[in-house]
Amino acid sequence: MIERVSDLPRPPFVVHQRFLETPFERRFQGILRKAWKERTWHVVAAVPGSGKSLGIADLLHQSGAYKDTRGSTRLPILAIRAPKNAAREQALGMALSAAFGVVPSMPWAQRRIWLVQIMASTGVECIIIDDAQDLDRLIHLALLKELTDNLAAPPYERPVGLCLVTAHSGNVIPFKETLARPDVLWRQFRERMALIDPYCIVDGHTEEEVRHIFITFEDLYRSQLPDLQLQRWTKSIFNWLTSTILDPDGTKRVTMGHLSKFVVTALRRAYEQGATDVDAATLQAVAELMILRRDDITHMNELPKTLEGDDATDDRNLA
Amino acid sequence: MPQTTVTSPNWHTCFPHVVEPYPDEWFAGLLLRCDEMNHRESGTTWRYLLRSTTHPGFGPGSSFIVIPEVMLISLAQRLTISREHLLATTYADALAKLYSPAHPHAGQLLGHRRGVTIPPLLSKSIGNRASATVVGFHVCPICIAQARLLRRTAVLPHLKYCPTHHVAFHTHCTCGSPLILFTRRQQPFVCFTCGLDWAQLPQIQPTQRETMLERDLWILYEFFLVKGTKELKASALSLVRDSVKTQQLLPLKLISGRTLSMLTGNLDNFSLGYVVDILISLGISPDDIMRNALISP
Repeated sequence: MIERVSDLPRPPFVVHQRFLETPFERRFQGILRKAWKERTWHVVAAVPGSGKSLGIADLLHQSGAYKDTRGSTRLPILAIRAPKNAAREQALGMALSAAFGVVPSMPWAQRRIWLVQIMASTGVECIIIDDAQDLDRLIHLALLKELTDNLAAPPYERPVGLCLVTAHSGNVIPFKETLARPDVLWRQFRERMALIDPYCIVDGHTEEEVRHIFITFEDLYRSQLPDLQLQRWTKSIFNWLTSTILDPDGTKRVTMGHLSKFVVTALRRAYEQGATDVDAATLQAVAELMILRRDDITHMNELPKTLEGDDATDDRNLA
Repeated sequence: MPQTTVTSPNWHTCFPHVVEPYPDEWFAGLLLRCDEMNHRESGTTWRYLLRSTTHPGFGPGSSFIVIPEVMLISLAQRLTISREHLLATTYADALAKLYSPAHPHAGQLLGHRRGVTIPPLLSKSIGNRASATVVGFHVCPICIAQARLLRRTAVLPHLKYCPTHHVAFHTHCTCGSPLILFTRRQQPFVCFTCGLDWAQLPQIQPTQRETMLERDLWILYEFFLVKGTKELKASALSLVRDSVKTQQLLPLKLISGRTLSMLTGNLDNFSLGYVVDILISLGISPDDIMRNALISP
């Protein structure tokens, strides 16, 4: 039975912003770390909402990048997001430059030389491009090849790893088809791809993995919902989150984005109702919201309530 | 050593390589070192500062002796250092003490602006590549070789030898071209014409007479720029006035080559360079100035 706490008003519900090293993240960061360590090239795909971007950000934070005031800068992992709707090579060049900090404007011919110099002087060991499905197949990949080739050649002689991280759907991996073409550029690019696991799809979470994640959620939210027992709902939640609406490819895996959104919404509702645990009705209501009513249109015809405690955030991978 | 990590919001608001000033480094030298560290052509940081800030009355002809506040703040952010740290690369504080309540400006050190000295012929040959040059700007090849260091002394008038290494300052390259601080399409710290690294310029020793003159000049500059106050400057000027009135019956040839026949205008507004020029020429030392300050009402 779920206890209701006293009538005293509770402080607003707090969403924990901590990054969770979930099984997906271990798999995903595992392949990134391999590329970094072994300087190998991979195309890494996962369904949208898996937590790829957060995983990249976490890896970047752990990479030991720093700038000191003696002029020494180290950026072992150069992680950027692919430019959107910008097929020119300058767009990718600008995105790569911006990762180093403030860069005064310079002609493009100068910038492409500068990029190689700065990557060498800051010790770039691996380039990770998030949302790589937005890259222009010919122009951007050719630029990446040129930059990495120049880095690998004298005087720098610095081979770098490359991870093109993409969102995918079904079993189709972006780039695979392009790189299989017979043109010289693609053959050269394919030559540089890793021998082992050149194309990887990182799967979401199994039911057992979801159960383990719930243990972490229970610990994180125990202070706000003292009797929280999420684990007992694992099967139901797993089934809801692998329905055809939320798992259109039928992977039977759960993304962290869906999982976090589901749990945080349910816990917030339970908390606001004064409960100390979530109950079946709350979970059912949230499941309906996510599955059946996710595309509902809401007419905003009343004045908004106070926004106090409204901590709408990107819940993916955040506890 | 202070570090900026990739998680810090500063990461994206500072330059890829950040540098902090060396003791006694000159602002313009720091800009050049910043260019070199960041693999950029000479003057890139300077042009970036010019474009990204508003600074009425300040531009390519600057002497980099006093820098507008907005530029100091902007560069301090880009280098993740304090504004005070950056201010120490200028003579703004020292001039403020000597010339208060007037706002410090380059003229207080150098005298009237003589403009950007790019002779017409030279201007023709380099087009608009010269972003900035400074009157009397000179470099010590050993300072450059050891640490790519341009000291603030690089702009002090009349000094011809490096007070630290006792070798001649250079205002021109061995190819005959003047040294220009910032030149487009050229590496920092090199001659814009022949590409010779300033560190490779010859190391010329002073004669004994020059050594003594340089020492006296340096002692006077140190006296004013380190310990100087408005009162001490007034004491020095009163000695000058007395000396000229009582002793100098004939026009006095100054070490700068100028001639002093009588003192005109408001002496308080004399530039420090001119004051030092007169003091040296009249043989007035810091001790004389201190003594005079003690006995003056």
